[in-house]
This record gives sequence, C-alpha cells and structure tokens, in this order.
Amino acid sequence: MSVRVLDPTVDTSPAKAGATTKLTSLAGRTIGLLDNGKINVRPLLDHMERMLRSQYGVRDVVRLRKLDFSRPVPAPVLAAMQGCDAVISAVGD
Amino acid sequence: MHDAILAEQAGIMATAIITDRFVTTAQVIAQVSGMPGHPFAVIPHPISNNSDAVLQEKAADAVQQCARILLAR
Amino acid sequence: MATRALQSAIYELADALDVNEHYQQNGWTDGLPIVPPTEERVREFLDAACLAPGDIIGVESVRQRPISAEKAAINVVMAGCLPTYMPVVVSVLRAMCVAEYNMHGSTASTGGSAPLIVVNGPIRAALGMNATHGVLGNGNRANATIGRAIRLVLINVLGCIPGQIDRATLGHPGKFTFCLAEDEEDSPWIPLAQERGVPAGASGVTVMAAEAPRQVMNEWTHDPEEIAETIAAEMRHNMLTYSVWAGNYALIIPKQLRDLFVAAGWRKHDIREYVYRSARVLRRDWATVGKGTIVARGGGPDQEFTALRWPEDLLVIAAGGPAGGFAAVVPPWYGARALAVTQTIDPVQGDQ
Repeated sequence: MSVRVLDPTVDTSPAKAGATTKLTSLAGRTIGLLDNGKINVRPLLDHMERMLRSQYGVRDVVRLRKLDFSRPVPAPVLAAMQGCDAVISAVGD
Repeated sequence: MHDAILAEQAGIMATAIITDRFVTTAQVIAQVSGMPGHPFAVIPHPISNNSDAVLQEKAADAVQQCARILLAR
Repeated sequence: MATRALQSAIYELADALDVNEHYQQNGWTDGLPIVPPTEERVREFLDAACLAPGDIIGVESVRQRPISAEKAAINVVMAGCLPTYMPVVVSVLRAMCVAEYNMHGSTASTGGSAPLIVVNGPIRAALGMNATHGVLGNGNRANATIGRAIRLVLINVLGCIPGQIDRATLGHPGKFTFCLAEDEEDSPWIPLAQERGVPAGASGVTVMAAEAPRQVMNEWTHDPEEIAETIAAEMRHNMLTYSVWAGNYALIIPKQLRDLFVAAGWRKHDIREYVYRSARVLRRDWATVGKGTIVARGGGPDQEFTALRWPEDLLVIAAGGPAGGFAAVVPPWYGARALAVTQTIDPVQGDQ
C-alpha cells in the first residue's frame, strides 16, 4: 500500500518578472511610461522621465497613454511598447 | 497592475507604480493572472491633490524602486 | 471549490513512516515527525476553511512571497491539526502578513523571536483548546498543532530555515509552538481580542513576535499594586538585560493572582496604567548589569526609557492553572519594530 503526498514547499528564489530577462543597466535603454490618464500621473511621469534620463542614462523614453483608465491597455498601445526594453505603468489607485 | 501584466505576457518587461492603499489589490491581480509575487513600486496615496514638490519626491522614490525591479539581481 | 486541481508536486512513498523520513531528510519539518499530507486530507482542510487551493491567504510584503491556501493546508495537515483548526491558522497567517507585524524582520532576525498566538471567542471551546493548566506548555492538540502549523508554513512556504533566512542566534522553544487560549469563562475581564476590536461574541486571534516567557511569582501580598510591581520589575529587567525598546509586552495572569486583582476591583486597564508608569529604567541602570559603557551615551545617565509607549501596549491575557501565584511576562522581539496584530476569525469559515 503506497501513500501519495504533496510537496509543502514553495520555490523561494527571488520572484521573476514573467518570462522576460532582466536588464543589467538602464543606460542607453528605451523605457516606456504608460499613463493611465488619472489626475497628476502626467506630471509624475514627467519627473520620472527627467530622472531616468539624467540619473540612469536612459536614452529614449516613450510616453504612452490610455484614454480609458477603467479598461485594459488597448492593442495599439501594447504594440507601441514593442520597441521598449521595459515599461512602467502608472498609477494604480 | 493589469497593464503591466499584459505587457509581460506580450513579452515586454514591465512593472507598475501602485499607491499604498491598493497594494493588496495589485497582489491579487498578479496572482489571478498567473504571476504571483510580480514586483511593483509603491508610493503613498493619494497623488491627485499633491503639489508638484511632493510629486517630484514620489517620482524619485518610484524611479529608485522601478530601477531595482527592472535590473538584474 | 473542492474539485479544483492541486498544483503541488506529488511524491509516492511506501507508507507514513517513509513519508516522514523523506520529509525529514529534505528539511521540510521542524525536526519532529509530521503527518503525511495526502491530497484527500489537504482538500478536507481547504473545505473546512471554505478556501480554494489557489486562494492567496496573504503576502509577505518584504520578499513579496504569497501564501497560497494549498501550501498552507499542506503544512497544517503536516503539523497534526484537525480540519476545524484551519480557520484559526488562516487568520493567524493573515495577521502576520499585515505590515506592522513585520513578518520578515521578526522571523529572520538574530533576535530569534517566535509568533505568540492568543485565541479568543467561541472557537476555543469548539476546538477544545486549553486556557488553564500548563497553558504555555504541552498537552493540548489544538494549542500545540496550531502553533506548529505556523512554524511549518514559515519553514516551507517562506523559506525561514535556521542558518538560511532564519538567522536566529539562539531562538527559543516557542519556535516549535507558542499558542494559547484565553480563559474567558473564569475571568470578568474583557477578552484580549475584544479589547483590540473584534466584535463581542466573535472569535479572534492576536499574534505578536515574542521572546520567551519570563515567569514571576508573588505569593506574599494581596495588594494589586505590589503584584503589578513584581510584573513591572520583570519588564525593567528585560529592558536592561535584553532590549530596552518600547513595544508590545504580553502579560499572562493565571487564576490565583487574577482573583486578587479582581477582588481589589482592578480591571485590565488598571494593570496597564500601573505597569505603564512603573516599567521604566534610567540609562544609568545599565551599569548594574555589565553595560556600563553605554551610560555616558545618548541622553546621558538620567535618560529615561519606558517599556510601553502607552498603556495599551500591554496585552493582558487571563490564562493558566488555578494554583500558584505566578504570572508570565512575554517581551517583544525588538520594541515597536514589530507590533501585535489582531484578526477576527471569519464566521463563514467554520466558527460554530
């Protein structure tokens, strides 16, 4: 008579961001900033764009915008992200 | 958070900036999307009535957190 | 809910003894034998708490580690719990995921704390918990295995393994289990959970990152102030010899001393007020315990430190056996860096 039992553990290595590979540096990179249209997100992202360029050497910042914050990002905007090394979506509230 | 997950699923590395009141919501969204523990940056709620000086501070904090998330460990 | 697939890897072994050996060798236990977590048992436990396997009970926020219901249930089975204990364990885990509990800091630290769990309300009797004889020791299945389940989740789900993420220098035996019920039946005082916001008549848990209990004794007085002074003295001693930082202290008062407080008209509030005023030391006092080098630092020899930030920092719990003028002082891991958290146990989940 055998016993089938379950593994109690969870892989405790650092969380991985989906299937994408991490960057070694932001310098020279293209970063997308997605604005969900809520109040004050644009000025927040303006500051972030400036800091990403000046402090981290980011080469290009692609500003993307959703017209309806209550719906998921539409396909054309997702397509526009394809040239980005990484995207930051703002602000979930 | 959902948009960052959609970008990841489309093969683009992404993270999100969430205000602290919505951290649990963001975590649940990540979990039900099949990416439990997907990292994001957290800034104090709210931002809608912040002065520009406060927004700048939050932007600096968010940039630092996002850089840590996006760069290789 | 019970028909959703479980995600965990499955091992097929000859019998329960082999399961235990396999899990021991993999470092998946606390060093003691475990109950084999079969799929049937895990599903029973999920059903007892009305949870689906993929439900997230909570997330440890520093390392962003989610605790799924499935993984929690596996460890609760292993601990030797009954299915009816699952809602209590779930509530404790939820409480530990609240930021001010500081689950990562308190479980990883060299300071070696353990989660002290206090259970209130009708669920105590439903589970046959112990609130009296030897309440801080062994002997009761619910007390023992609820506390143990938390430790197994910390080990297996959060990777809190001694020498790895768990850097405790010494730790203490509470890291095996540290769970008690309050004796609400033999006390006129308001139950701890109710004082901390759980509705009267509901069940609740309070959990705090705690060091080992320190037993005091005073059988030489009926004066409540003198008894409270003995308690305050133990807290002052802890401040000097372990850690001075103010935070939550737990105070467990068994029947003999409790009856003296009650006869003098003292409620928990009165004990808190007295101890808040008295549990204080001056920086110069460190010279009496071999720490003279720090007397000249900071605010100077007359700088005052208090064990409690305010009276409500003292968690007063009525529990313990009927005889003996003892009480237990349970100090915090690191002052207010980690605070006690109280959660209501959701009545939907199985409270009777």
